[in-house]
Amino acid sequence: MKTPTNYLEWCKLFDEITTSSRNEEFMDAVRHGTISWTSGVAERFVRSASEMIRKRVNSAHDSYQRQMKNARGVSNNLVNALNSLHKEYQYVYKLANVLPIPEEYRATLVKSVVDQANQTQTSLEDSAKADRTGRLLILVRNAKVNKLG
Amino acid sequence: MADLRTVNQSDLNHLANAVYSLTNDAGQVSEVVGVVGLKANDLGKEIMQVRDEFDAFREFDEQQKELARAKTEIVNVRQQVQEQFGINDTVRQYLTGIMEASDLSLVRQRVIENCTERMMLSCPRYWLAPCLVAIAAWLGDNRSLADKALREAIKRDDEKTSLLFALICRRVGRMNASAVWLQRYLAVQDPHKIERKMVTVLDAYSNGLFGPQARESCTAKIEEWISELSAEPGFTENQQENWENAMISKTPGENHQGRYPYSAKRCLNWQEASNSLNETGLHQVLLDYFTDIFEKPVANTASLNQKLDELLENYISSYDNEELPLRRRERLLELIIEEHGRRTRAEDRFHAEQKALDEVVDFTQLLTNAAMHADVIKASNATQRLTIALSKEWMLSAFNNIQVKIRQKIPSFFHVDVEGWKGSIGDGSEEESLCTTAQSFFTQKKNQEISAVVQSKLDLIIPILVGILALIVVFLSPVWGLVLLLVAGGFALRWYLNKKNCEDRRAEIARRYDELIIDVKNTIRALCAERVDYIEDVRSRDEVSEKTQELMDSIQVAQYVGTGGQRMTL
Repeated sequence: MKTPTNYLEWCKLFDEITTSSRNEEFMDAVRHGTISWTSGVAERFVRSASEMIRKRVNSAHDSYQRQMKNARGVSNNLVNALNSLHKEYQYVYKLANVLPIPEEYRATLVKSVVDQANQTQTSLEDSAKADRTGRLLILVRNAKVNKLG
Repeated sequence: MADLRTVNQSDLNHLANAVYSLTNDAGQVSEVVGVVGLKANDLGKEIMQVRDEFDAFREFDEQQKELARAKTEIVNVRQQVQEQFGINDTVRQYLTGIMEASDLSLVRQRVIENCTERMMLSCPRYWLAPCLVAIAAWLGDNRSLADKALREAIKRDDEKTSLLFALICRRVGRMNASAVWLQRYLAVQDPHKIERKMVTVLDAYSNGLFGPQARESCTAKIEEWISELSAEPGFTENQQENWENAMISKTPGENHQGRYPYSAKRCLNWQEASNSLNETGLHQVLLDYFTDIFEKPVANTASLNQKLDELLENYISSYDNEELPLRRRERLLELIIEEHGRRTRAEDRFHAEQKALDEVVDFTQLLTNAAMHADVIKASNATQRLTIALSKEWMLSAFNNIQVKIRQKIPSFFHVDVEGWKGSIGDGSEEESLCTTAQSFFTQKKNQEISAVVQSKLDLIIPILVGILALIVVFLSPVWGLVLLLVAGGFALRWYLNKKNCEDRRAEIARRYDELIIDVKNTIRALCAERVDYIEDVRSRDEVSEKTQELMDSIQVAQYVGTGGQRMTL
């Protein structure tokens, strides 16, 4: 995969990241890519990166909803759905961490991913409380989608 | 020789000072020239910036003046309307008042008669005044007066009177009388010259307010008119053009400078690019417009009488043709105020609406007006749906044409000018190649400017010649030899200072160009990034056109003809 060096190539890569699942290839491209950190490019780059993260997280949530709908209460299916969501968060967290941008901006993006993961974990735990058997709550607490580091 | 020997020390000092001063001045002059050269470019930039700011200020100032003028004038125009046609408003209010009063039987017949007769006296030419007298006489069982008043009303305006009584008869449940009045009204209509009040018939038709007989007459007439007009040569093209104009009038006038600051400043075809953003934005505007019309719930809670009252009120409150010139002036001023003083934009909107306010139009133009300028000609939501459905084919062709034209106008390149360097950006991938060409362009300019900074050869020749002369003279007159040696030394110092100055200037030019190249490269990168986002922006705006087209495709005429609960096919 081509390592991005300008804004157009980054936009194409971000588009691919939101629609495809070649995760490791993307990670390498992001890690080795470069961008000119100058006015007019920097702000657009950060906006595109955060948009890519938002889309990826949304799609992970959609996929989780679908898996939960088809899980029919089977523990294995539930665990798989939670694990997939966790993996997605971990992946997005890693991606945000390797973006070739100054530390302060990277830290902001990473924080937004962590906040989103924490919020998701809280929301999952809250909705799992409705399950009277308490089984779902245990599964959610064990899966810990916000354990990213 | 004797004169040479008589030169005293003070003269020598004076001469030495003069030589030193000359050298110093020359150095200062070349320094000033260098600084001026350095600042010339900056000044050019600043002048451009000041000119832009001045133009913006002048435009803003003109807009403010225009706004203030419009605000003052609109008060005068409204006063004139009130003075000349204020009484017409009172007559209009009386009509709905009398209808309500007769429903409730709360007002004595004598009072109604008094009022209507007073109105008859106050409005010697207005067609609605004898109509009021006729209604009052009808309510008071005075047939002879009712007949006389009706004759006068018909004499003043046959069409308007016929339509008014078609609606009033429908309101009081006299279906046959209503159908007769409506047929009388429709019979005198020419589909090439339909007045705006036909919208009232369409309103009643689309809202299902007519009885079966009247509705059938309407259906037959609409079909007959459309087929008659469609058979004429050039009709379809004309109708498409009407629709195109009506749709284009809804183009948004957003300013995109904030989102594309570099392109707005450096792109030579920015105006074109900005227009394309607005034009492609039209698809969303049209989608919202049609969605609003077709998805807005129709309030069916009102009783038939309430609906007819609303329709009657709407009908009689539509301006009479003689009020139109002042009403047009008022509308233009309203638009100038809405556009915050941008007169050209207000006039564009006004001209687009103008057709809707025309006194006489052909039937299909009336359909377009009711669909696209419902607020101007006071058409109901149901009428908008019906007219859009009736015009579906022309509307779709017009929309397709607009789509093609808009796409053709999207600029394939951003032609940019950065500090005198010109280039074109296609999809934004040219970043590096453009940076390289810009670098060569400015490096070449730098080299030219550096090579232009040359020290005069005289700077070196003069001290050498004076030195040689001093060596010759020193044998003849040691004093004058010494003087010339001093002069030669002065010129040598001047040569040295100028040489140093030239080196400084060259270094300064090199430094300035190096900074400029970095700035230009950054600007090119920013422009490329903006171009990438611009293409995506235009693409996503253009994509909406598919949804708009789908919505238009899904419209069916029969869905939008109100039947008052009965089956209807068209």
